[in-house]
Amino acid sequence: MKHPTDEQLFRRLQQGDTAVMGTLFERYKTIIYNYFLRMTHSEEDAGDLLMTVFERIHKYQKSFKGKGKVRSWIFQIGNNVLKDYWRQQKRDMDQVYELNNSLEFSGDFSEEKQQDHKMLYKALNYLSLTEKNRVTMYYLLEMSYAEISEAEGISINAARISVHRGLKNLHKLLKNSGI
Amino acid sequence: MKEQESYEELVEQLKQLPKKEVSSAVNQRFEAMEELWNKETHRKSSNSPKWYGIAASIAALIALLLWWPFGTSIQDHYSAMEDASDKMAIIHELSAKTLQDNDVAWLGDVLKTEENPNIRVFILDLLEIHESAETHDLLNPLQEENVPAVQMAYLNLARQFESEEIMDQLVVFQRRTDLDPSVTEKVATIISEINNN
Repeated sequence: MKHPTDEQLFRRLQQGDTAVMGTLFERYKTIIYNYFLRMTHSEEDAGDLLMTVFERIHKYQKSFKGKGKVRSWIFQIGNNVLKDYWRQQKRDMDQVYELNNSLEFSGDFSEEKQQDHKMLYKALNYLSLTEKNRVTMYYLLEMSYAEISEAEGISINAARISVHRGLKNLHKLLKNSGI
Repeated sequence: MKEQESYEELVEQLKQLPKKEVSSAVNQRFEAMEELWNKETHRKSSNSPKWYGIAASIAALIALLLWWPFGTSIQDHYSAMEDASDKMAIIHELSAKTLQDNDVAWLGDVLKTEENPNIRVFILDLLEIHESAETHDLLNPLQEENVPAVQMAYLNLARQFESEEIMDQLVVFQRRTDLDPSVTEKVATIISEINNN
């Protein structure tokens, strides 16, 4: 049988079928968890934030009016949850913060590849929270510039420029600073 | 051209950064949340009965009036329940009121005997939210607890004590070799927070 789309699932949820939440959790838990993990570098906080996202999806399900994709709506909630988290931590989105660099990722990667991953993680940490967030939304969540612009309340062009600038800074960091 | 290639390589690297799986503790927390949603939905749907539903409700009410032991406490009500979601709904009702010492003591007893981990998480969350758990004894079962989601909930509760008195318990717990990494991280964070205070 063909898998139902997110939109079909969401209609069922809005009609009272809460079992759908489990399916949405299975579909999105890994990607959203990793988004938070990259932004916070804390497994504990990433888990808490993931729970908050699904609480909000359940709580505000009626506010999704069917305009746009469920996926972007969920990622938008994720972005808002992250912003609230930074606010609680009294972090300035335009600043660079040193985060714990001890995260270990298992997988079948060569030593060289693992080293590349570590360097890239380290370099990502040298971006401001805003840039890092937008680069992560674009390359991990695979959000379009239009979706990022909506989530961040900026123009599509500003979203494009911001992601490009982040990428450029990342490139410069990896190339010049010997990270 | 070389610069362009190097950008493309970076983009590829970004896309291929490895991902971590969600821990079993997080999955269990979601399951507990899901169970509560299902219960709420079930309640809402049974709040809009059809005519035969109304008749059945009236009959049930009469039966209840005849048989209900007046003065039955929430504790007795809980003991009479078998279904986990019913038990969780009862505990959920407690979240609307200020917990008294006897409520906390009762919840502490339930924690020791309740087999369903979701219910244990639920109780611990309730105790944490209400900030009413003055007694450190509530943390004693942590040493015997094997479910990561419940361990995390105990640690959330421990965090609110911010007291050196719980340090020994945390240090003993930290020595366990079977802990989930997220639990290890959390207990280390709490110990360091207490030390820094």
